[in-house]
Amino acid sequence: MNIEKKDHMKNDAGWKAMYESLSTGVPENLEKQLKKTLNFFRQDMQEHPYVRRLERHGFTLKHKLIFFSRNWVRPLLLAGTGLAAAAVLGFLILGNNTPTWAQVQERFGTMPFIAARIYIRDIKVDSSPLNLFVEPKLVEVWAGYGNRMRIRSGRTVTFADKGQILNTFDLVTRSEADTDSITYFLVNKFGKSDTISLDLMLREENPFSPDEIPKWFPKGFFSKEWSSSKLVDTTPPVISDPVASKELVIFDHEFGYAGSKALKARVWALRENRLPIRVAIWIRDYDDRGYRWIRSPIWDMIFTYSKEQPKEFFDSKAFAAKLKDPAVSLDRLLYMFHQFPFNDTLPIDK
Amino acid sequence: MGKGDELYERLISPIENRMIGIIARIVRDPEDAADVFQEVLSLIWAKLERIDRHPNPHAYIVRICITRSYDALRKRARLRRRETRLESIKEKIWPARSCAYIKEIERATAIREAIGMLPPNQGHAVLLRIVEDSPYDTIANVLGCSEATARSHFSKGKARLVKLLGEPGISSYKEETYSEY
Repeated sequence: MNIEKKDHMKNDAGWKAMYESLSTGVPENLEKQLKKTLNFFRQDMQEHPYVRRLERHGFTLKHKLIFFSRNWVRPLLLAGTGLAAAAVLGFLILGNNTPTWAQVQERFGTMPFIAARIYIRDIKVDSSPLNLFVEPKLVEVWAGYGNRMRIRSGRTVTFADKGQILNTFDLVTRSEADTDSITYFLVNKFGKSDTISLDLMLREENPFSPDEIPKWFPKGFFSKEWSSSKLVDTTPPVISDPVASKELVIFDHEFGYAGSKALKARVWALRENRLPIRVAIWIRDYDDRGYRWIRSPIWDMIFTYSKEQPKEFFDSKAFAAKLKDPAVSLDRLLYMFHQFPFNDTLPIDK
Repeated sequence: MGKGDELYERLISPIENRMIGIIARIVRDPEDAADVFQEVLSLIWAKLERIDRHPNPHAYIVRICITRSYDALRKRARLRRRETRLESIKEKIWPARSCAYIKEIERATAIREAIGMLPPNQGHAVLLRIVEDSPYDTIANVLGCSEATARSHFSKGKARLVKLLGEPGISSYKEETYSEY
């Protein structure tokens, strides 16, 4: 070794001397003796308990875990374990947990555009005999841009904004018309809040002011909200099939007037994205045999969530302009400004 | 090849000469070196499983060699301090033997004695740097510390050594031997 190259020894006689003293060659005899000792050690190693254990069982568990005993592995291992635990917990808590009605309602309110097809059967309870075979009436409801609504009920189209009816048009006479009771009811129910509210739809409110109610009426008639019960998760009793209940969650609700349960509602929602897809409402009838629920729902609402429609779709003035144009056909007026999901190209029958 | 041979080839074979070199150069005396070597092997035997599981088994073994050799130096330094009382008598009895050979032996002994008086980490760093010409990262690896700490140990040890070797009583090495260079 060239000691002149060592920086720490340059120009340092003491260090040179020290280096020379300590870097002497190993005496040959000593080297031989130590090598011999090493050779014996090597032979003895066969008898070492650790080596015997290795020969019997291969690598020991401790040895197999050598990787985990290293200092740099531990934080990674801990972090990995923590993440895995968080993922499992997250899956259990968020992924598999049943959404609450409040979460469903909140999710519904955040959707930019909602389309609902409502089938209403006017059964006329308390009449004898019941008109059980009455055909349902279809009402189409679209909502978006805050709480702007467009409702097509029979031959009329109604535009509303935040619970206020703007215009109602008769498509056949191509003029303004009166709003029908169902449309009025829907606008009043859905549109009372800033965003479209399903909760309001399923809440029966007292239509009378307290001054209008005679004082001898039962106390329940004076409350603002007539049905105070909440929608409760009834998935397990309703859907026993684990595959179906994995995707769907069901909420049930009974409501009526001043404590009398006159209506039942059931909401089907998707468990993962918490969006309601169907709402059905049943009514109770009373005759000489007592109270009984009519099996066929009087209201059946199917919800779809498509891309947001153009603003003109909810614009009553733009619609009125088209209505006055005789060149625009009735079938085009019916869904004027609505973006068809098939881009207006339907398959043609040959 | 059995598991024992396999283990030996993996752990000891690559550093056989390094082990011998460290111990022989630091301890110097052949008998003492053989004893230290035996001690080292006994420790390796006792800690074989731990060494095998160690992320850097070779550094672990080198550390054992350095520590045991350094302990031998310290032990010798203690003995020397007791023997210094006899030195004046020796001088009177053997005045004619203060030749270059004796001086050389005394110089080497004084150096080792001084290293043996350093704190362990400084002593280890100095020995690794001088005996093995190890770079700082290797010293850090063997001592189980950072490179900066290893560098600090070495520079402090070096400064202290210079001071020790200059002190009369520890050795007259500086005055007598430096003049030869």
